[in-house]
Amino acid sequence: MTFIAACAAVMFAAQVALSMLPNVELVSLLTLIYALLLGKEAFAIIYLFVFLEGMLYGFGIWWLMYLYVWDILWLLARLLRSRLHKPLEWALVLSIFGLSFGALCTLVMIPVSGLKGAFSWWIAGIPSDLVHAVGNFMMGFLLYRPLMKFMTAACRRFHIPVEQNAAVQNI
Amino acid sequence: MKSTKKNKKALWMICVVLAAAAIMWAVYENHQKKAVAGAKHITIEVQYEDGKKDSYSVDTDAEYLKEAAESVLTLGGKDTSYGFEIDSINGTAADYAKDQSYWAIYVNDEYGANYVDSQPVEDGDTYRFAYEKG
Repeated sequence: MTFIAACAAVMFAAQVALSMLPNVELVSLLTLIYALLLGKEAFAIIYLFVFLEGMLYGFGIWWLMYLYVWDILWLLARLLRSRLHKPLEWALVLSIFGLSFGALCTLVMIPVSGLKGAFSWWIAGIPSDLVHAVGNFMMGFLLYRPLMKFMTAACRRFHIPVEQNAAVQNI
Repeated sequence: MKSTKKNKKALWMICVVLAAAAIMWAVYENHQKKAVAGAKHITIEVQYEDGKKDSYSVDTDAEYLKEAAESVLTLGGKDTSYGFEIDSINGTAADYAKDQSYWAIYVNDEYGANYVDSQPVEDGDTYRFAYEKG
């Protein structure tokens, strides 16, 4: 439980620290790493992080997006964990997630502003999605391996069982 | 052989990312309204917390809404990396951190997708600033 809280705190601190850089974030990479290493345990980290975000920024519409958007990345990581090994490949997955972030968040906008309004909202956010994709790619490419190694070592240090999948074994 | 297969996988993924990015950019270029220079006649409305609504008929050369709005309204706010975030209109403040209130922008009664300084102004359009709570 303490380890999960610490992982969520790291995620939260990373988000706040990088919040001045629009759409450059570490949350996606951390979600990916937690999903690969911890499996279902990562959900507890994600939702603790989402709750902390709500406490800091308020529980607005954006918060509803956060309730499911990280789960999609978790699912993607779980589905691809035996197929992808290289940091470049995971960086590209993060990049695709960054590209689709606006579209995924648009689902919440449909009841608020209708299909047409939600579509306009997605279109207006495309430049941000492109920046998000580039930022995620850079974060993944540069930090996937060191963070994965650090997290694996931390899990061993605190006797947290780590899932043995191809992504973890090939770091 | 195995290495070539892995490289092919990465290459395919790069192609998918680039193709998706290119398609999204094309969609953006085709759909996003562009700011145009020249004279326009627009309506600017302000809907306050109590439901009271002010309406202004504005003739402007402004390309973006912020400049046009500032000809009839007092906008308070700050420049962020996303755009100009409105904190107050004519002295009426909205504070999302305090009570989740904010100033929404509607364009012809549709929820606006742009910040006030990136919302292009089009002749004949109606822009409404509405005090809302999240």
